[in-house]
This record gives sequence, structure tokens and C-alpha cells, in this order.
Amino acid sequence: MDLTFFNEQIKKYERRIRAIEASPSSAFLKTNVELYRMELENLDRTLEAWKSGRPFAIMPGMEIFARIMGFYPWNYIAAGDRVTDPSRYLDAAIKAGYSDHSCDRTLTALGLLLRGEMPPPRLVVSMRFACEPERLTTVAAAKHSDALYYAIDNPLGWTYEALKYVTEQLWEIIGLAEKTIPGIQYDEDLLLEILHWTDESKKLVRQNYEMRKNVPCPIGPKDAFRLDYVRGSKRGVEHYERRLAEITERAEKGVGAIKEERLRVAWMATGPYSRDTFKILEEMGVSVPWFHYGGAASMYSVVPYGENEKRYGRKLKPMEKVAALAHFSGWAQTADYWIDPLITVCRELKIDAVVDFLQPGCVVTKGLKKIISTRVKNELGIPVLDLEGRQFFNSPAAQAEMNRRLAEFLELCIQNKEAGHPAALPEV
Amino acid sequence: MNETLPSTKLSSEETKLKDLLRANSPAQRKKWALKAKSEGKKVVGLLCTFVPVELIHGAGMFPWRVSGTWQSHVYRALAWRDLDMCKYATHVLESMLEGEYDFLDGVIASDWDDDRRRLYDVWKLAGKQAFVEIVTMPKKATELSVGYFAQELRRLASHLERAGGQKIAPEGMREAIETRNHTRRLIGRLYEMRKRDVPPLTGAEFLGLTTAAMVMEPGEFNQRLEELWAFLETRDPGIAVGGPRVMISSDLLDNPTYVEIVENEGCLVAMDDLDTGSRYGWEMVDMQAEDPFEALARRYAHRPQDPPALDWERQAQQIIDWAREYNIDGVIELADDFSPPRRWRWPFFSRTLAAASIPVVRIPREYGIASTGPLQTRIRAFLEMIGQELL
Repeated sequence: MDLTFFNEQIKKYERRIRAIEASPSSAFLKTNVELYRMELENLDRTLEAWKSGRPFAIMPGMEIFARIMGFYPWNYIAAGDRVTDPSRYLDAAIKAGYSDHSCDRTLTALGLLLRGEMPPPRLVVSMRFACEPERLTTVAAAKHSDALYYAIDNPLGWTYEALKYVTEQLWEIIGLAEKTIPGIQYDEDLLLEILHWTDESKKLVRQNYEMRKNVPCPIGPKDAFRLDYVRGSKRGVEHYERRLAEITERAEKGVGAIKEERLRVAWMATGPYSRDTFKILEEMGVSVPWFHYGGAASMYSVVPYGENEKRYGRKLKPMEKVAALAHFSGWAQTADYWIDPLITVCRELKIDAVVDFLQPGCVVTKGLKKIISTRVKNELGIPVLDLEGRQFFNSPAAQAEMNRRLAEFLELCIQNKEAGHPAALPEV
Repeated sequence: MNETLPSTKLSSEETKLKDLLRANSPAQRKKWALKAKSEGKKVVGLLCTFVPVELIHGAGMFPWRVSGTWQSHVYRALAWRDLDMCKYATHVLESMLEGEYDFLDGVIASDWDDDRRRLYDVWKLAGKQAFVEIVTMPKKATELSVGYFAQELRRLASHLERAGGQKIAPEGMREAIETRNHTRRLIGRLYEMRKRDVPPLTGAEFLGLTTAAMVMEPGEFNQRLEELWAFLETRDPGIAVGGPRVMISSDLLDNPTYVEIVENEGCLVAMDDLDTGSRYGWEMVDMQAEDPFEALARRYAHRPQDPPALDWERQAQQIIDWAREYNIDGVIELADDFSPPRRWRWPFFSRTLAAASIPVVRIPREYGIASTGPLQTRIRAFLEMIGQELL
């Protein structure tokens, strides 16, 4: 067992906790300490599960489904995001024959597996949850392991027929896994319990969205990029209640996370990964009330959420709700699923400008960039910056150049807003 | 003594054949679509070979496979896309923005990959055609998948009926299926001839033929091919016998010049793994099936898979089986470097072929003919390598 990744993650969270406790900042929520402690506990539990031989599963976007069969879910793509020395994992993937022209997280996720720094999976399920590269890196993971492999075909559209098709495939997976892997058994009671807590957390996530309508925004940029997953456990929901209470208290007092909020930005695709970028946002007084990723609109109920009856026109059975939880990313669909909610959110959260973060190999975003800028400018009259960058820059100069472009754009937007004409900007 | 000078004139059959093989050239490819339009039919552009042509015919419309510009400049498209994205989609977009497809009455795409979906998005925004649709392609050959795709086709059919203003009659569908099955039978029989030491067509000519079937009126294509059959049975295309026999594997390759470039380095492209070639013509639609939508779904789900489909093992095995049947010495993957499904599949694909003792190389290519120097060098090196192995 190579515990490099685990050890680095533990050090990282311990460092963050110490930093917050030593000098708390309004830019970060105090409940982040609790969140990081939960992450540490999760790392401990995962290590324990690995050591004791529990069967692991890779199924991005469907960790709940893994749990209800008795697998321990490995959050494959998210782990790829968290590596502290990306070059090790990128090199491993490239040495194995994969192209570096793919979004970095899809390569680092695979690199972790290739280097043996994650528990080997017993089951891998691929699906176009968000995009082809995320699906394909999962397929590659299956080919580099002895895992049972199943590929879910998730179709276009959020119709009931599409949902039914995905659901039927989930039942096939259960049948296969139960037959092939000792100890695996579908537990419907556990599913109902998890679904109860996800329903509860969904209501809280929606309230989080409502708080972001406040000016100034009560959450800072770094917290804005924390993905608000639905929590499938009582403990997760209770943490989220405390998190939301902290946000609500700030909102009610009119306290913003940024000292002097001068601009409100919607940020698209993935968050920036460098501390310098966050520093720029904070120092320039730019809050990020909205981070628009694949599942954001569903997660915050801007569009009817996965298992919501409004979307499907009927009450869903438990397994259909699981399928709906997996089949809700706007990225995997056509442009209107991605852009229509963005327009709604920009209006509701009083957004002044949009940053479209475009990375190499990210076709789902790059293929939309001009459609987005055209529609946002026409329908909202606010400017869009196409910001090219990557998750793991291989040179500080490239990172600095991206930050420079961002800072210039933000400065222009602030000047125009303060002069009273926010839309009057040249093409950027 | 009178010397008989060698005839420099092609025989009339050779002329007819060459004419047929040029049907998808930029100068010719719109001819049949425009003729159908002049006869009052609506013309529907297809951005994917998984959209059943039979359905379009059954709706009284003319299906027409969309090729992109074969020229290298794509400056209009680059306002909407980046260079590091699928080249077919970029070149098609360039042509669309130039107005090349203004004659189309509708367009149908599929979710073949993220790029195709985004091409659909831009096309829809452009608003040049009232009818712009997208379908989920079948990515598995399971009963579940066939069932879902059949539903998709019924949904598409109702859109086509609205757009075309006429109901799709069962007899119309049957006739369309039979005509296209006949095309597949003819193409299939020709592909059998590729197993010969001297097939009747070069690899480049085979691609010319299959892409012709995608833009011509099918009845005319079938008839013209049948009329040339006796000629083809004995035709010698002038291939040097004894050189390596290779298979080209690629997607969205519709320019036979690329295949010519490969063959000019001293080999025969004796088989292909192309959505514009073998995968287009393989598998019949079951005429005995009660439900034509299910029959269509089954055929398209079971035909040889494209890389975005979900079964890499099946895809690799298909290549291995063909390599054995067609006596292939090596496989050249002529890849668009910015196509994620093929790019991610490569390590698995190359390992699997290597385990089956089939030499394989991956050589990036453009969509239009460009940067051919490095391409030729690498092809030559590969052919030398397999040539030595043959010795």
C-alpha cells in the first residue's frame, strides 16, 4: 500500500485547520474547520477500509449507489483534484500512453491508480456524468485494474424514458455485482435512509443559494468553489445546518466575506486552482456568488433537482431517485441545459460579469464559449471573459499570465460599474 | 508493320467508375441533394452515420452526409471553437458559416462525443435551418440499449413527420430499408473482394465508393454499381502485389487522398475500420422484423462500433478479426489527435493488438489535406518495419 497520497492529504488538512484557528478570516467560513476535520475522519475511515480489504468501487457521481451495494466508494475524480504534486501523476498517465491534452484532473485521477496510491477497485462504473474525458478516464481505470466493469449509457435529455433507461442499467449492475463479488448485496433500507438525508440536505442547499442573493455576498470565493454535495447522512446534514447557520447570520447582519465588495462574478467550469488567483479576487473586492459547474443548477434547485417530481412528472421509486442523482449534470447535455440556468442565476444573484474558465481538452466548455458570451451579452448586458488556463500549470509564468488577464478584466469591470455603465466593455 | 500504340483513353467502364468514386468530391457532392430539392423533397444533413438514413427516406426526405471543407483555412470556425478540438466538427462549422449548407432544410446530429454535441449547439444557434435535431446514438448492443434507441427513433420520426408534413408510411419505410440493405449487400460483396491479392479497387477507391453512397440517391448508386459489377470482378487497379497489406482505422475520414497518401508509400490498404467505410456498410436491417424502429435500432446498435461506444474489447476484437480475415500485416490508426474517445482508447487498443501480434501505429492527421510530410515519413517508417517483419 503506497500511502503517499493519503499522508499528503492528512498533512494538508491539518495545515489548513491550524491556519484557520491561528488567524481566522472573514473570507472563510468558520465551519470549514469542521469540514476539514470530517475530511480527516473520512481519510482515516478510507484507509481502514483499504487495510481491512473492503471492496472499493469507482463510480463518479454515483457514490451513493456504491454504498447501497456494500462497496466503499472512491471519489476518483475528486481525488485527482486534490493531489499536491500533480506532475508525479501526470507523468504516470503520460508514460502509460495517455495524451496530456486532456483536462488535468482526468489524468491525475488515473495517475493515482497507476501509481498504486489508491485502493484498487473491485467495481468500476463509467458514465458520461459530466463529459467524455471524465467518462473515459474511468474506463481507463477499469482497464488498468482487475475490477468488474460496467459502462452506463446515459442518454440526452431529462425525460422519464431517459431516467428509466439509466435505472434499468443500475439494476443490471446490482445483479452483476451480487453474482460476481462475494459480500456484495443491495440494501434498500440503507438506500431509503440515504435518500431521506439527501432530501433534507437538498432543502439546505437551496437555502444556501437564497443567501447568495444578498449584497454583499456572505461567502467568499474559496467557499463558493466548494461543491455543495447533498449529504447522505445525518452527520453530514447536521454539519451543513451549522454551515448554513453561519452563512445566514452573516447575511442577516449584512456582513460580506469580502471586505469591500465591488464586483460580483459568476465563474464557470472549474474553480481556479492557485492561491494567487483567490488572492486577486479577495484583494480586488470580487465576490463569486455563483460557481457554474455541470451539476450546479440542479444541485441548487435552479432547475428542478434530479429526483424532483417537477422534472419527471411523477413520484420516483427509490432506484429512480438514485439514477436521477447521477443523471443531472448540465454539461453532459446540450447548450440550453447549461446556459439557460446560468442566465437565470446571473439575474437572481445580481451578477456583474462572467468568467468562463477554459482548459485544454475541455470540449464541453470550449465548444460553448461563444454561445455563452453571445447569449450573456445579449440577454443580460454583462461582459464575459474567456479565461484560458489549466488546473495544474507547468510554469509559474503561465499561471501569472492568466492571473494578469483576470485582474485586468476585473479592474475594467469594476471601473465601469462604479462609473455607472457596467455593460460598456470592449470584447475581451 | 503497323505498331499498335498503347491506348491512353480509359474504357467507358473505367470512366463510369471514376465518376462514381468522385461523387463525394467538393465539386459533386451536393448534386443529388440539390436535384432532390428541385423535385420538391426536403434535404436533411446528417452529422453522424448513426442517424438511420432509412428513417429520413421513409419521411419522404433526402438524407445527405455532411462533409466539412477539405481546405485548411477555418478562420470563421475558430471564432466559435479552438484549434485543439475535433477537426471534422471545425471544418464542418467552417463550411456552415460560409453558407455551404444553406440549401439544407434540416440537420440531425448525435451525441457521438462532446464535440458533436457542441457542433449541434452552434448550428442550432445559427438558426439557418428550422429543423435541427440531435439523437442519442446507441453505444451498446444490449437489449436495453436497442429498446431505448428504438424509442429515440420513434421520437425522431415524429419530429420528421412534423418537419416534412407527411406521415411515415410503413411501406415507405420498408422500401427505404430494402434499398439501403441492397446498398449494404453490394458494398459487402465488394469488401469480400478486398480479401484477394488484387482487389478490384484500391483502398482510396473503396473510400470514394462508400462516401459516394452517403451523398447519392440510393437507387441510382445501387444501379450504377450493379452496372459496373462485371467490370469490377476482373478489374486490376494497378496495385503492386507483394507489398504490405494494411488496415486504416479512423473516424470521420472522408477524403480518399489520405488513403492514397498511405498507399503511395508502397502498400495496399486492404481493409478499413472507418465509420465512412466498413462500419457504414456492415450489418443489414432485419426485413422480417415486425417493428421497423426496433429493426433499425438493432442494426445500428449491432454494427461495428465507433470509439465513443462503450465496449472497447468488442472494438479491438473487430479489428483483430478483420486483420485475420483480410490478411493484414499492420494497422495504421490515422487519428484526429483531438478526438478524446479515440485518444483515450489508444493505450488499451495498442496493447490488445500487440497481444494479438498485430503491428499497429498511431499517426495524427488533419481533416483537410495538410501537414502530409510528417505523415508520409511515419507511414514509410511503419511500412519498413512491418516489411522487415514479413521477411
